[in-house]
Amino acid sequence: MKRILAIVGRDITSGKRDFIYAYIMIVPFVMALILKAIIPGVDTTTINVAVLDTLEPQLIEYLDEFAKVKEFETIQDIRVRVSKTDDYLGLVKKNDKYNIISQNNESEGSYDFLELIVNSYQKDLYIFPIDIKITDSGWKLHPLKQQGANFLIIFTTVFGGMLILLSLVEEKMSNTLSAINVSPTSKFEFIIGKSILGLTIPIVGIIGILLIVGFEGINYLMVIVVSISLSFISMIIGFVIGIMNDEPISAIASMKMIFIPVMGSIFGAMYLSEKFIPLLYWSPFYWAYEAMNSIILNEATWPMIFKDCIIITFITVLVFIMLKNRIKRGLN
Amino acid sequence: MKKLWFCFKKDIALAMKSWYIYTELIMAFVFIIILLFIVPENFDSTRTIYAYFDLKPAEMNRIDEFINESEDKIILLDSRSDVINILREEKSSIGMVVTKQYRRLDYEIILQGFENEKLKTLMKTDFLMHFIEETPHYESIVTSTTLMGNNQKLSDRLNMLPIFLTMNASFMGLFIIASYIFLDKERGTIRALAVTPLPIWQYLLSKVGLIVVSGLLSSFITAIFVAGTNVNYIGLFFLLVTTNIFGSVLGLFITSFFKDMASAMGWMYSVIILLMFPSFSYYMPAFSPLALRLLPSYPMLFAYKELFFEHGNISYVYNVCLMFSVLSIIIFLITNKRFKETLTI
Repeated sequence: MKRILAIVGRDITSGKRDFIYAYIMIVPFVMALILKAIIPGVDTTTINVAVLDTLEPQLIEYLDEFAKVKEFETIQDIRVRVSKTDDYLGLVKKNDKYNIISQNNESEGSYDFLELIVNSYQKDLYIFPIDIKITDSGWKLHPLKQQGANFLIIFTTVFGGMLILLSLVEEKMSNTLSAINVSPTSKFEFIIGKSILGLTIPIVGIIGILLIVGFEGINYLMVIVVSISLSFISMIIGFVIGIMNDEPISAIASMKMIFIPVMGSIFGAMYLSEKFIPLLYWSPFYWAYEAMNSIILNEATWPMIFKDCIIITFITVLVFIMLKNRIKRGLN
Repeated sequence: MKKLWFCFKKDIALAMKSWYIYTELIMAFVFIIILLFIVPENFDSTRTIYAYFDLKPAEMNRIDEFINESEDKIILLDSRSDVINILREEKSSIGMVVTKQYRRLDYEIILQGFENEKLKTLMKTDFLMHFIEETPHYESIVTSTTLMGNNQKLSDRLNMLPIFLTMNASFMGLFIIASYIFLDKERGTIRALAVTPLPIWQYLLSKVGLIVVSGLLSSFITAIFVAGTNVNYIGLFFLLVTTNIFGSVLGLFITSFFKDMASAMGWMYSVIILLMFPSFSYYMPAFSPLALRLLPSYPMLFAYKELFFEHGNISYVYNVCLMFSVLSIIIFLITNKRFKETLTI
């Protein structure tokens, strides 16, 4: 234990010199703040409409109920605005009709929505024996907040793995790794010692992300339990890549490959239909996503969380057993 | 210039010996396989509506007609509570309950609850317009004008390519170039530049050249396999070269502030994640706040996209190339000065 703590202490000392851990702690928080700042903007976005400032004020007011409206002085100004890269539709009155100016490459449904809004401007002329009301199922959590936070959490874990990886490559390059062989520290103690910071730092980041994005009412004990098992994924990433590569370039290039299963698991879990989900069962990132998602949605139960954590741990152990000899060789 | 060419050839030879170039190629092929065999050409955008109609069998005839004509997938359930329960399970669906009060039909559209007021008003109006459009004297008051130029929509599969080209080709090189510099710092080879005739700017430019070559290689392979002939390859070449140079020069600039990879990693990782944020605007162009438009990945994403259109806005692409060329020169000059000053530190 003393020797493990000595390795951790050495990592902290070398990290403190360059404020590495300060940066690493701050990064997830900054990302969470950016996500939080973006959510209201995305939430209120429907369509953007460019109109002439001479258009009847009642119609502008009516359009404003559905869309973001911007006034321009000339039709040419509107055409220029519409032809820019983002989505803007123009609306100009022409005799008794309204002309929609578009590029026809806008997001699906944008044109139809504006056409619908303009045509509905005179809806009061029609009377039907119907009543339409909009209610909801009570689910207030915006999908961007839910998925965005989960995405950041998984990436924070990957970041923990990168720390372990870099630390190992650094040891290899400075030849200190071979010194372990003649020191009283066992390889197991060395692995644990090297992993502790990569394991604990993401946990702080994960809790910070959830608090900043605004998940106050969730079960934080479950978050900590899942974060610990998530950290095992860091170990897989860090050790597998760190041990296999002798210099940072190939280590960083290999790290890029890690993004494929990470992204594949997250997007697969989000978009694949039920029948294809078993294709992701091999990936610890999938189970991590599932566990964190159920906590965020307040749907998690302890048996569910334990099941996901056990699967993640099992995959980690399996990978370590498979690569045991390779890791041993790498440490030599 | 001869020294630069020699240095570049040496860097390429070293890269061929290490895993780096091969990893880039493997990454490109994995991406190609995912796009061609896993991602569908277009995602199914059919909306599912869970509905309960509390009506007499005779009144259901019109409802059957409504269901058959609808573009949405309508699934009938036995009660309002069933609708609510399934909406809690399926967060991307909406619900509908229809009841009859004397001679009036009451339609309740049940959303999830996170939708904004504008969207709610839009849904209500959309529904009402279905009835209005069916009235005998209804006439649309809308005409349409399509601007000249590109009026084509990309398939969902092709639409993913600009993200890959921006993030993988243009910005991931930022990590690699940093690794190269730190490796040379670690081994002390960078200090040798102080006593060799090779100017520091040529040393840096040679590394940029390596990243550009590997970026071109992986990006062209991906574009050829996924988009075939539907790409403006000349524009793609210039855009890849300028954006790769920009990404690498940015990497060099960040590198100039740190002594090793571990200390630079936090900043590099933050920059990459920050540069991913304009993807929101890319997939939702109506949401383009200034803060996202100012990030370099924003014009890159849209410029790459233009290359896949049959009549894409090529002048926009070349303007973006020009802008990144100018920015790269400025950043490179500053970086070169910083490296000169800190060469032996």
